[in-house]
Amino acid sequence: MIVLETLGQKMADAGLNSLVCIGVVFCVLIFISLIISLFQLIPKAENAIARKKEAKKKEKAIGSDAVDNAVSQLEAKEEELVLEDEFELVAVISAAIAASAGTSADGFVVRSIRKIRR
Amino acid sequence: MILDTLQNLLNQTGFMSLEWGNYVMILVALIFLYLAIGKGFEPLLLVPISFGMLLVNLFPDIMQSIADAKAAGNAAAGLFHYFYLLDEWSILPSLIFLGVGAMTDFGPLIANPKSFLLGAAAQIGIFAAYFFAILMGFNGKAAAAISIIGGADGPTSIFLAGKLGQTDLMGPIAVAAYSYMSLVPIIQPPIMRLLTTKKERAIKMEQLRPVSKLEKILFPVVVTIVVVLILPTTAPLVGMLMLGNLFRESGVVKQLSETASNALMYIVVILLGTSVGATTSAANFLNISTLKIVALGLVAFAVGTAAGVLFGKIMCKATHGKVNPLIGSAGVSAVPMAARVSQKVGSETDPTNFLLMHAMGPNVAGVIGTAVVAGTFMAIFGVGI
Repeated sequence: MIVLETLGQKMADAGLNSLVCIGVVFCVLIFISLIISLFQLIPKAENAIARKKEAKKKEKAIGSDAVDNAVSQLEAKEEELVLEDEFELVAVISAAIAASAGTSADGFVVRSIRKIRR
Repeated sequence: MILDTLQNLLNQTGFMSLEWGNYVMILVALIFLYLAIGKGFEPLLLVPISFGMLLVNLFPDIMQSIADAKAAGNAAAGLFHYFYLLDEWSILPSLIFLGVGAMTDFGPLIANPKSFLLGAAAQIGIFAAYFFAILMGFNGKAAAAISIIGGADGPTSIFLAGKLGQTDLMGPIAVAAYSYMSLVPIIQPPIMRLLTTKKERAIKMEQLRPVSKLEKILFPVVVTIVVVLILPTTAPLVGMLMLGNLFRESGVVKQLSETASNALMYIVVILLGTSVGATTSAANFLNISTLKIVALGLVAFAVGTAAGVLFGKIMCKATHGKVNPLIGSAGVSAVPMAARVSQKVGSETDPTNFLLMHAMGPNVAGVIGTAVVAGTFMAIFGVGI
């Protein structure tokens, strides 16, 4: 009878220990599981940062394009101005080319005139 | 004079000192060697274990303790006793965990953190065995040390037996744990088939999301902080497991990662295998406790597998059929064998069903789960680091 009681007591202790252990194991693993499930936000954050960086790069690229365009437009305007100044010279050159090729001066345009450095 | 010398030599031979039990164990060792070499049955573990078993039964003093050696006037104790001290002091199990961490990809678990639940459910087998062990007359600490076999984790079993002071039972516990680990492909499938329907086994799971490098680096750090803060006694096991994994995932210490998962791992396996084998001297091994431990190990394994599959069924219902219950059985931590079994049983029903990566999640969660159970037992019995 005493042995049975002791065994009963032991089994009660074992049951209690088991319950506590199972409880702790589930709690700890569920807790980690919850924290790890937040990890899925990491790639999203990484992507967002990467996108921001790309957007900045693009902005920079667009900025430099704008400057380039402005410069080329200025150059074109300057070219036009130069050609306007040398209108007579352009007319003479056009006529000379037309005479030499045997065509009219309407078929081509003199865009620029540069001196050859010798 | 010559006769005395010859007499001494004769007395020194094994024939004069060995008992019948040693011869039985020598036979067992030879069978194990045949299984390892002839049948290719877990040779990396079984060759050193069975050779340790052979040597200790040919020459029991190879495990002579330091105190016995001093009493006998010997300069040093037995070779395997020194190896065994590394088991008893939890050094080798912790180093094995370092190697396991360096070899494990936690990606599938990070991609599907719900796998942690399956890793926890499969630990229920441990508590079933704990209950039965008490019923069979083992004291609380011995019952806890034996029951951890259900985690299918040899190093954790040795670790806990050492920490709870159950060194007498360490040999049978370790041999049973390693034997059952290699028997996973035989024990699990019938239970898995019994508890699932063909329709459930055929469930195809959605592909896991890709996991970024940053997530993989953060995982070992976060798990270490959380688990060790809650259960400091798990620091040697979980800490080393996660350190090994950080070596692997950080990508900046390839030499350390390779050493931990190759050279160091194999050195440790040699020391651990031979010393575990050497705990099976006839005097320690051939008794009724060993038979009880073997039976309890089977109970732990079978209940753990069943609990994992049943919890998998619950998750299957809860997710409206998105989880294949077969991955639940992988929650017992024999990595990667238990996951391979899930894959095999799944592909039997539908050859185009690939469950391996899905089963790796609960599988590696089971390793953490078993370490947490070991830490909880230590906390319950008031054992510190």
